[in-house]
Amino acid sequence: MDKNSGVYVLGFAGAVCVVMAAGLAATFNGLKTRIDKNVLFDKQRNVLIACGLYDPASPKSQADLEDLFKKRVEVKVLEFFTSEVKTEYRERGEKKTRTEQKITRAEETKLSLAEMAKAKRSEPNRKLGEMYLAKGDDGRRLYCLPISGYGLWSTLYGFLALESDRNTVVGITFYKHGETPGLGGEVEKPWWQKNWKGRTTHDTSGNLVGITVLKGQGNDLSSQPHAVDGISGATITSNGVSKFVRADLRRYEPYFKSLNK
Amino acid sequence: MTATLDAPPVAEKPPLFGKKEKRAVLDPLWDNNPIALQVLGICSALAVTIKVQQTLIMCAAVIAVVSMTNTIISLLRKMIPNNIRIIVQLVVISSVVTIVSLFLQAYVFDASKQLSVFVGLIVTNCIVMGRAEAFAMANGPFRSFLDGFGNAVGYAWILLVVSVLREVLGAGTILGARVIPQSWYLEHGGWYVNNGLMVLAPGAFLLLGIIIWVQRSISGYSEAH
Repeated sequence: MDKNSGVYVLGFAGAVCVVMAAGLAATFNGLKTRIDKNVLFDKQRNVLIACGLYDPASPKSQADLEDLFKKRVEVKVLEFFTSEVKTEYRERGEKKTRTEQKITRAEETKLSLAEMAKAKRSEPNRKLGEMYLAKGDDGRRLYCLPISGYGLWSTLYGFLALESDRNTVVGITFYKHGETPGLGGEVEKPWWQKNWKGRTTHDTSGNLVGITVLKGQGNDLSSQPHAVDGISGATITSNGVSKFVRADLRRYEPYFKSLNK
Repeated sequence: MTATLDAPPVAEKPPLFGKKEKRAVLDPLWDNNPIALQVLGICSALAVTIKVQQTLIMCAAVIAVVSMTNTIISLLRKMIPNNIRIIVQLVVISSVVTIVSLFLQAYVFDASKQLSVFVGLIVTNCIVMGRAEAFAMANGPFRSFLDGFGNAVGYAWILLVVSVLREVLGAGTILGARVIPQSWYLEHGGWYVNNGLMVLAPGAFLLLGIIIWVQRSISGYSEAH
């Protein structure tokens, strides 16, 4: 058969794609449990870092950290609109049964437009969010929230831990992102993350204002309790972080308000 | 290896590891080094050489990728239609890189996180496609495997030299172990300060330039001819 005929070219291209895709799928399935385990541990480790329970500068073994997580952290699921706290924990992306899928779909469509707008713009249908309740060193309760949103190139995923007053930041971490290494990618570095400690999310009258990452490095923060110093060359990533941190905090706000009462 | 060279030539059937095979694997190490002479694959040579540990993993990944893609493409070379050969090469290369990246995520998760985008960017490393197009499309699978392996090792050793220098000069450690004593440092009452330039990309540029210069003056290569 003529190697340059259209039929051969199409057939060959198709065959190569099918074979390579099959190889990829097989590899992924074979390694999936291992990778999932690594990802889960990475998240747990980042919760501990955000809550200030673990300092990566003095490394601990995986077993120790898993043990620490089990002892200190409770994983809860919060229903944003009803402020109901559930104990059942389901990893995002884990498959639901058919009936469960039907139920959630029905529930989602019932949401009013206003409620949807209130929720995060990028994920308007999300009703549930993880919440990590950690026990600090002196027994006080820390609230660790998952945060995620767009930076410059990618969606960033991380955690923001709040003090027991649900106002003061304990720490922030990012465990997954695709920002430019050396610029936006610096969000995962401790030198920048430590800027967040002690910043506050509410103004003096108790309104949620979130936290703004300022443009550039070396800003004067003395009169700005709701701001953190930025990263030179990463303004768009910084703006993204400010935006989605505020959006995520807003989703937990009704629950936190109900606790303040 | 000298043993294979000295072995009497087998009548008709070429030896499994003959002169050509030897050249395929040894040439790129020195005489035709992909970084020092062809100046390919520079992007990752700058990006992943701050710490020796991540360089080692990057090198292992590149060695695996180039050896495999060269072998696969060589096996397919007689079937690949000429007018879509580059696309077919790309499909093979990107699949293999994704597979390698999955293995890194499964077995060395932290390192794969540190390497971040650079594992995926092996796809665009000119060495990979260069060897596929220039060698694997015209040679048998075993020879292509050796050529891929040789080129990747030629790339790897230069990266390792750069990363050792950068980690020692920039952080005073090798593989995280301290080589420059703590007491030498200014903040501990000594006189020494880490060279901040070395942890930045320009430091890698300087080192790489010096290495290419040294390598070329020893190997006697000149752009003129």
